[in-house]
Amino acid sequence: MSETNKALFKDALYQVLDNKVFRLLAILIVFLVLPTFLIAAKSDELVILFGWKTFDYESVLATFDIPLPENAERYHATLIQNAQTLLVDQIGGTFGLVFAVAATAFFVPRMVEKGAADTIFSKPVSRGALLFSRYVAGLLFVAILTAVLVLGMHVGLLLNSGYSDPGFLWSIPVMVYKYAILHAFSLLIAVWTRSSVAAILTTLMFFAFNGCVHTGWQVKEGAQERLKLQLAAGEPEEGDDPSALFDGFLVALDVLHYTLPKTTDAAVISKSLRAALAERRVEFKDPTSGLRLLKLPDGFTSSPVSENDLPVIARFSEGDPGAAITLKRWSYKDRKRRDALKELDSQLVDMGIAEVTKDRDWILEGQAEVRRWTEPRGERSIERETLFFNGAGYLFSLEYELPAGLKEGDARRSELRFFRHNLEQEGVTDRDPDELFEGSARWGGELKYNLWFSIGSTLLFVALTLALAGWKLSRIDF
Amino acid sequence: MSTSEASIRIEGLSNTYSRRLFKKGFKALDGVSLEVGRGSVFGLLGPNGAGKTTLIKILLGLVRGFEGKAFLFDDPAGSVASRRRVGYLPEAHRLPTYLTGRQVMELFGQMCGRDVTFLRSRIPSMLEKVGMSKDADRKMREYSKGMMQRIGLAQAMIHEPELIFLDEPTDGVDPIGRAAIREVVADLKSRGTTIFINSHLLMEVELMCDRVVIMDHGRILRQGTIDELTPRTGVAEFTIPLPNTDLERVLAGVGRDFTRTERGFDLSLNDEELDQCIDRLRAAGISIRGIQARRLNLEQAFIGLVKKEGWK
Repeated sequence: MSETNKALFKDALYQVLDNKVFRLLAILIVFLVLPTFLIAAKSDELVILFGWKTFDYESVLATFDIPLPENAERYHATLIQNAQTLLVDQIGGTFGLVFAVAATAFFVPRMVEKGAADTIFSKPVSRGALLFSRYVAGLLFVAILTAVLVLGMHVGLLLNSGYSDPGFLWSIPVMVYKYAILHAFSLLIAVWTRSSVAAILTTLMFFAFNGCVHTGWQVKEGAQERLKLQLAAGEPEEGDDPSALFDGFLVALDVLHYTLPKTTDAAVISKSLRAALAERRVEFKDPTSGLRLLKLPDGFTSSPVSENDLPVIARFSEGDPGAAITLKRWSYKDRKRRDALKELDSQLVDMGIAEVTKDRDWILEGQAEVRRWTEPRGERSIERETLFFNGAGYLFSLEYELPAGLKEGDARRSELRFFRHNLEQEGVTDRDPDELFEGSARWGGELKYNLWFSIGSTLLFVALTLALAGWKLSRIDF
Repeated sequence: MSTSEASIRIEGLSNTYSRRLFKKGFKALDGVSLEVGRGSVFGLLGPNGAGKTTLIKILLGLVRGFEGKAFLFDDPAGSVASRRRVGYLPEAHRLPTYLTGRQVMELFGQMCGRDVTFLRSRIPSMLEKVGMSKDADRKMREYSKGMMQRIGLAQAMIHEPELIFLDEPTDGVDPIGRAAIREVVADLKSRGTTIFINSHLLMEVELMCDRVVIMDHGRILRQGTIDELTPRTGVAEFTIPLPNTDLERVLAGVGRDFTRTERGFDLSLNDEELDQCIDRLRAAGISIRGIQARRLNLEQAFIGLVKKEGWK
């Protein structure tokens, strides 16, 4: 590193360390991290100050009139993860970034002020390098604070609670990435206007506008996907043909989405990186169709299934008289979904079951047809649910047998229901329109859901913004 | 002056500010040409708006889009190579408030390509020179204007530049500080450093500079040595033993009024009259201790010149 670059880096660091907002945020972060060292969140109790006092979760929750959920120990890791996500990705990713933008927006205006500019720009350093050093100063600002927060929490939880999620560490680069976008824009406005206030306000407006564009685009994509599936299912399109103006709006939304930096994708990138680092266990895999089950409901075990059992490919149960789940598979050529549904409906009529709930749910690349009913089994009655869904040329059915008495809203019931979202299939994208982007985003594949494209196009925007700021700065006469 | 002997070489330099679609703009420089020799102390004078600061800023690359040619040590003015050999103390400068005086010197020295070892060995003596050793580790925001000026001067010299631009170097500095700055300038000159001073304090310029340029309305009105720019007034200052009551009689024949002074008398005369005056004084037995031709000081010369040009 040349002496000039060393000086620019040191200058950036001094500027950050001397910043009052930086110091204030650093103190705030220490207060956020400290509890992870002082309070141990064990699976069954909270331990304060290394054993000085202990509280079981039931009594803690009772203070707030909240009943302890059944099998609470199963939620221990989830609770810590959610707390980390809330503090870092959500609070830090929004309020923290807004603070950081406000605290660093004056870096450039102060550099180009009369008197200051003469001294600094007369040095044998290019204006572009000086501008970039201010950019780096901003990144250091956020990187140091985020690193202290994330690493501090990680070490605190590891030492005190015995909990470790290395994937959580991805929050550091992702937060810096998100801030890097805003800071580049702030720098451009600061160079153009030479005003900190203008830089702050415009950047925050840009942040909000950007969020609206990408959320709007995701909603549009979801709606178009829903319409496509609706038409594929032979259902008529509702409403009038959209006007040319509306079409124009959709095109504009597309253009803006592809052009603007994708700040909202940061959460998906973070989640994806976290998942990539987390231990990836597959509970079940069908080699023929590539269907995989990532996680079984707690307490379930799988029963052996052979070729002779086809179309059954997997059986899971929690023992008698608990719930059971059966997975079946046919080639789509051999059996169509509508035929399978007709067959089931007529079987139910034959069995004398009149009360059948018909529903739909999103699994893999489309909507599953759902039938739900209650049937007698010996002296007791059981709740049955069958879903038919397609995936990569196959028809699958997922058949539930639930013990009667599980009420709607019961945590166990929800877990059993949501278990099916742990299914994935090679080469198949989760097309749930409500979470289309999150479900479809991958490190490859279709451009609009490709995370590399998201990062690449965003970095291109950042580079162009910085280049524009550098060009403007090079044309200023001081 | 050959090009290699010149620290600064400017040919037909012109610059117009804010030339936009419907704006004519303001011509800050209008065909300025000058050369500054190596190792000299060069003064730039002119009223407000004369184009002095613009000229310096063009040489340092702070103002671009000029016409004409400008070189520092044969490198194009404003280039990184030329700026590496230059130190600059701007007028009303503002140094980064988040740094201490010592950090300013170290960082700015490093930006000019000097390594930390060299700088750390040099900084204490530089601080001593500008009288800031005691306060070097305080943040810039705690400094008074005079202290800022001293650190500003030190940062301009820290990397041992061959040419230093000082824009109003004594601005806000007390008399002791001004004397120290003059000493620093003298020291730099003795080491062969070229110094380019822009100042409103003409007495300072007169005391420090070898050559001076007077500018107004973006043009050079006159340039030369201090002697060349401060013409004789035609008044001779005579020093004679006092009291002397016979002067009226002795000088009556010279034909011009004289004024008594503390040391003798002043008399307006030409060279021929001077000879006659000396002869008469000697003939009257009056001892002549000294005769000095009175000159305009720089301020008088400057005001006279600018007013004259302004009325044209």
